[in-house]
Amino acid sequence: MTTDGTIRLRLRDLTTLDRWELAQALADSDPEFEERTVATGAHGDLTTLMLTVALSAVALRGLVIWISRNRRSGSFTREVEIIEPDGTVRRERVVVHLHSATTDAEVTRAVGEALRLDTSIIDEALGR
Amino acid sequence: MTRHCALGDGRSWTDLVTNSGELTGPEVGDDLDWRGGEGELPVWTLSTFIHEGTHHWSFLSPVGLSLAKLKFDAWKYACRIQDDGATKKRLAGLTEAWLRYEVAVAVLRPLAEGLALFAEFDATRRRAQLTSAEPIAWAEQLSDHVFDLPYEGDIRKLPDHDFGLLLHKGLIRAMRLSDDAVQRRVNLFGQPLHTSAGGYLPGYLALRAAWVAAGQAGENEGLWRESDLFLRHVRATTYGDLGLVRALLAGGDAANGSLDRILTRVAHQLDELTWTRLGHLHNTMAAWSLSAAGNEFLDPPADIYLHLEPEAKAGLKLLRKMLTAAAAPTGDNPLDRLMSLVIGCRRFLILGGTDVDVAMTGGLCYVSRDGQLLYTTDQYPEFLEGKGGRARIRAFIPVLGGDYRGSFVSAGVDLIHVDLSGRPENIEKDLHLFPDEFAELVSLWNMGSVYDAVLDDVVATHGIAAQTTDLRDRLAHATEEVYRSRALRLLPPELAAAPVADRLATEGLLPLAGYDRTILEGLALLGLACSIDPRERSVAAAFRSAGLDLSTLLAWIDARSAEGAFPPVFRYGSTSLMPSL
Repeated sequence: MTTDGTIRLRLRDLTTLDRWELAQALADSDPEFEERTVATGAHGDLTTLMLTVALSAVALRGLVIWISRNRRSGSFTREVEIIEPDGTVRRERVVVHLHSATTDAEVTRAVGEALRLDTSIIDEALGR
Repeated sequence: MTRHCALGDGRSWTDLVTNSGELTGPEVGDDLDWRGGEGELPVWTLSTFIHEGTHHWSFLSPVGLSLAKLKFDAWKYACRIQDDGATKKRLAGLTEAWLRYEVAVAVLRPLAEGLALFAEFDATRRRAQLTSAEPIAWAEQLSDHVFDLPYEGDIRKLPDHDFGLLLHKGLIRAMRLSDDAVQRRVNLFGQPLHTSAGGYLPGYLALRAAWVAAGQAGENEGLWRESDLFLRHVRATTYGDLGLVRALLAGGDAANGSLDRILTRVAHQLDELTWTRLGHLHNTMAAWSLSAAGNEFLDPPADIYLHLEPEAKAGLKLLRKMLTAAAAPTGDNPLDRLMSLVIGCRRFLILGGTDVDVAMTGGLCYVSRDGQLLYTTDQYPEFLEGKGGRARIRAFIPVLGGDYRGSFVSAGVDLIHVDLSGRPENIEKDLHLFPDEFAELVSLWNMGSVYDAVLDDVVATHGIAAQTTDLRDRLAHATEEVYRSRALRLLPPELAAAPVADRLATEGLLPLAGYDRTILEGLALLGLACSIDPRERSVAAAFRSAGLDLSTLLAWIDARSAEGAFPPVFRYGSTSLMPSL
């Protein structure tokens, strides 16, 4: 639960490269990265990496920059968790088709809608 | 239990002691039949299958068996101490077996992961007359994919072995030229270069460094085209190394001496790989071909062992002694009989599983999922009558010497029933294992964690762990050095020294590529495409299909390489490429 009424986004199972890219793209949004060790036996425990960030217009712009790095593959698909201010967690599947003609504005709208964000955040991210 | 996992997929694993495991992806009921496990693996599961299959294949070896024996010895001493009290002899026996096992697993883990990743990303068969390395051959048999076969003539006129090679290439192309494979390899590049993080990158780079170096030495580039044979050779000279068996099992020098011997032997074998010649690969293949069922170590043709070095001869003696003792256990300890079971049954490879519900009543077992009845059977143990609840159904194959499929339902330590499918003459020689011995094996898969708990408790209670902390730390550092120093041989000297090497220890190869996703994806694809066909024209076509440009990447590598800031791409045979990474 947050005390300031913000919605937070959580991304799980990030790679080391994802972390580096997200740290750059979300530098102005104070992203929090957390490593968790999953015990799989006496040896070779796996570490998973998770990001949590407050979902503001600035963060949405950062996410769009990060997602656009996947432009080569043509699409971006990811399960995300949205943590509402009251602590409720809803899971959303973000699918963005990243054809070369897709503009950042179109990606911003697609991500904002997939996350079911308030239109005011999407508009602010679009500079309106 | 000691699990080895596929990178980025903690749910697929192989246990070193029992050589059992589970794959993520293939679903019994969707991909594989509810009963008998017939069916095929979807192509998207093949990378993980080959990874785990390589672990299974590696542990199905003299070294894998020796490690299982050490673990069983440690379990036996721990149980005896817990039941009958500690004596000086029992504590010494426990300490030695436990330490050897722990140290050997830590020393071998990067190698195990390196082998599995090499099988995933690099090993490709070139010769029609030979058989693919086992995990890839199993994938060829089990895959459901209708491949886009790279052949322009009339496929019906091809001899069988040429058609087999074509199928192999089709599978490898479908697997390695996918975006999933590129992302898996990029993920590997981002792994820490230290051994305590699973050992994926240091193990892979240490093997790749040996492969690159061996090809560079004295016009030996042909070795780079024999990646499948190289994989088989690495497995044979490490997990099949009888000298390492001797280091693991020989008595005499306790603790410090025996542990250093294990580490030194592994380091020695890794160094030997850099001197591999094509003749060595063919000798390994010949040893495989001459042996029954492809298991050149458990059923060795005598002539292979005529010229063994003394350490390997001693190891062979110890291996045979272990097999003889396990075949006819004399003591009253149930673990002795289980060891025999583990030897006999460690060739069962589990393909996938699905959770189900079972209810056993009135002489019938009802198997259902999500409220839907799947099937009933009257084949289940009497003592389970009236019971039921959650269970798991798994499909399996017997590798090395079995040509049938199977499925079984179990709940906890209880085997409920087994179905086998295949020709009766293929099943016949294993029939004595079902269901009773197989039930004990399933029980052991679960009981292993109980024995481990006893072992951990006794080791802690008697101060064994605390007393050996310094020793284990020293060996952990030495293990780190074994892999790190060999992995860094791939890099120009400027990069192999601090502070760059220190950054690589935590961030993997990402700093070398400036964290640039396009460069990293290009590097990943370069290795994958070269594993299929190293000719530049073919690699360029793979890049175009992926929306990348080969010439831009090569120019970037060449420029950085000239500055000593990146390892080079080697050109050989006038048109072929061999990337260092």
